[in-house]
Amino acid sequence: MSLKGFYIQKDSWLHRLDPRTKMAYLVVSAAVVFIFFNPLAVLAVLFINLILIFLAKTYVVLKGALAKILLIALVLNIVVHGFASPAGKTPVSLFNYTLWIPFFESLKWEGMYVGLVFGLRIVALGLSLLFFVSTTHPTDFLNSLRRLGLPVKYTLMLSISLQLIPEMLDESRIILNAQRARGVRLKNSVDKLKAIISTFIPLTISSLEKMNIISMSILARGYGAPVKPTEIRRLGLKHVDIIVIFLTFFMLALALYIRIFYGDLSLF
Amino acid sequence: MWFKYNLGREYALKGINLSIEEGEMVGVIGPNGSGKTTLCLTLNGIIPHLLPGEFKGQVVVCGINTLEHSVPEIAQNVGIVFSEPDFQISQLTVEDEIMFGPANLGVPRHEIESRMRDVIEVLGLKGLEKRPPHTLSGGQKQRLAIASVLSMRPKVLVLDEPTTQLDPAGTEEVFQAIKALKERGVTIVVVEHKIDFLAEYADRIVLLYKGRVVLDGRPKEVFSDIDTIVGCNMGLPEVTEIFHLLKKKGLYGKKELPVTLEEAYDEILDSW
Amino acid sequence: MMIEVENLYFTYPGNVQALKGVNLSIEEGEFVAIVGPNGSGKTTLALHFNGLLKPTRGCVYVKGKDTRETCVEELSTVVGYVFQNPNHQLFNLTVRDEIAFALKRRLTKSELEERVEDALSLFGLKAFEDLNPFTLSLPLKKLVAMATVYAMKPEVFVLDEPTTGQDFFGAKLVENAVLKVRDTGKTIIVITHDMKFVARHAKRVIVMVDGEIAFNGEPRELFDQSTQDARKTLERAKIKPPKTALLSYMLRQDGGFKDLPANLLIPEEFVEALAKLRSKSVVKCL
Repeated sequence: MSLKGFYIQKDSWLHRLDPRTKMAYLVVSAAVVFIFFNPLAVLAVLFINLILIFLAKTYVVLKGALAKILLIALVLNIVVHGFASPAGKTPVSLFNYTLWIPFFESLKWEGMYVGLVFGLRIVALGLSLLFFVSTTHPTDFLNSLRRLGLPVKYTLMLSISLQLIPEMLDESRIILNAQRARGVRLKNSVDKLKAIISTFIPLTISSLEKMNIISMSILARGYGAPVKPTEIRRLGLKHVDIIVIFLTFFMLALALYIRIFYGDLSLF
Repeated sequence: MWFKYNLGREYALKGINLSIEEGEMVGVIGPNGSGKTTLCLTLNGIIPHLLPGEFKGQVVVCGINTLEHSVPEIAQNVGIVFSEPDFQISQLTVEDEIMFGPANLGVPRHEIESRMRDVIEVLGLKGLEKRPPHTLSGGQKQRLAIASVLSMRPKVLVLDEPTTQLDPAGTEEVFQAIKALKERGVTIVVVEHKIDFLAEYADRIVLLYKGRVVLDGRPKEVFSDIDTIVGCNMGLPEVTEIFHLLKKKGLYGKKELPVTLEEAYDEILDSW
Repeated sequence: MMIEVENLYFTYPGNVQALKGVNLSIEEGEFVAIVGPNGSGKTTLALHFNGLLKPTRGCVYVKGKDTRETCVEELSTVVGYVFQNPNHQLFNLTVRDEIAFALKRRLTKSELEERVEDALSLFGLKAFEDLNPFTLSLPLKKLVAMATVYAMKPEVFVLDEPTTGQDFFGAKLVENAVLKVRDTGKTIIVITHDMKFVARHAKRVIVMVDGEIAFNGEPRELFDQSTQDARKTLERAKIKPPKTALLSYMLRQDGGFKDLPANLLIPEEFVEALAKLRSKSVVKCL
């Protein structure tokens, strides 16, 4: 469940890109999907993301829970906006049959269009994120945040949290089993939830305690000593990075140009 | 040295006077709550810098007064390993964890890598380099915690109950590693409940009870003082217990009792 | 037959084969210790006894019931399991509430009161009954966890490393509590690394190595340094026998104490034997 769980170790040129490059792409792709109000434009970004994922050979991440959530989000958006969006005027009728629900009346084309754009935006963004996360090792990610200026205090905190979250999840599972072993009835999800909640406070307290002690051990391991620390992972912008960053910003510039001179490309 | 935690009702450490020579191995024993961990924390400056309280007296380690230097500075010479590995592991892979310490100290990269290979070998962590620590077993985690301090090559190594989470095999591995370090000349302070090991390898034993140093001497001296040991709710090394019972039956008369298997063997052969 | 394990295989998700064909039977009232290196399958095996784990292949019968067809809630009334970390099993506001918790829906008020009182007095927890379990020291927490399991009145008590991680006093406290439970006639199964404990109290010891049983018999047999087999088993399991056993072996082999009985396990036995020899023997001239 942690970030580490999403990272897939393969050896592609995309994996070897500096995390900052990929972060730049993430930001730009997010900007582009919001610049246009046209499903085709958003689909373009979406396809680029899919291609990237395939090039990086981390497509297995598409089978995961997150991908399914994205699809659900897409469908939900189309349906909800289809019925409820104020932009909707023309009812949808197929073979003279119109789907009708009280208060929201029928599905409308304009509404579905809006839902499609919103939904596709979510999917495109989700894929960008999946691409980033599946090709960037968490430690590299944190180190690049440091390079970008984030104080090391925060990267360390993030690092510790990423460690603790899967641990806490493991702990909850063990706790549930321990409860069952002493006869606590955990037949349904409500019981399970109650059990987890009752241990929630001691669990959180012990996690906070852990974080506190871990930060002490970090200091005891010389963090902040009056010497120049050695860089372990070689992070540096290579030629490939420059090219990709250039292409990314070119994409942004192109998008802005089209936007300025041709509007948001909405079909309605 | 005296120390009282801010939230403590009384002094956790009372009037501690202790000196440890370079290269000595000192075993610290005592019931839980007697101040052993507190004592360890004063050796690298966590007390008083990170755990505030009333601190009287001074602690000088490797010529540095802990009051006058920060914890990271002191960490250049003193390494500490706690009994709970979860409280020490902060990085996302095993190798990151091991390299973290020396990297903070500015050790050159190739040196870090060779130290890492060394400690991975000594502590049996081969093959686990890329694993995230939370997937390791308790024993592996503890060995990782020790490895990541060891890679800093400290002059003084403080271990607070390092084998609590380990099975006998893991315990043995850790004890062997500690032995090897002793041979390299590292000054070692070990807090342990597994007194049989300390009896055999420690140069000195310090018994802490309710914040005070009650006994301080060679293992034979300390463990032969049965009354004090029992009075402090402590146990004896197994062979010492045998001789204690022999003494009670009037079958053994010497003042100092054997504390190791070899000593016990020799003594029995001698006396009968 | 309290517990029967027939050809038990268990594989964790992710294809980790933890148990490879384990056969075992435990009778009522026995005191069994399960030992072995970490990862050998001790806990995995024990978790089958109360149904928390179901066999991948083979079967486990508890009092004749097949664990694959019985739910954990039911099995927990026959097999009580005390986890290694008491924090995982405690979450109520007072010790009394803790002990009463799982019983609430199963018993009448007066029955419940009786059981709670019984558990509190057996474990000497009367003085702590209104305290919050989380504020107690580790050995006391372990006693509370034991008391809560005891209150369910199971016939089998499984304890996962009860004396590990404590100082001498705490370990003794827990040890005595286990003996008290034994004295009420329960079947006791202890997973432990403490060989002194095994030598002192276990009537049978099971050594697990790599998911299989490497030894199933009396501690005296296991720690008998004069048998090749025993020595090999100990080596495989990376276990050392108690120093008493080693000392008596050394004296018999190399020290010329050929009359010293074999298989001495604990200091008291050793001293007795030595005293007997002393009174029998002629004074040695060195």
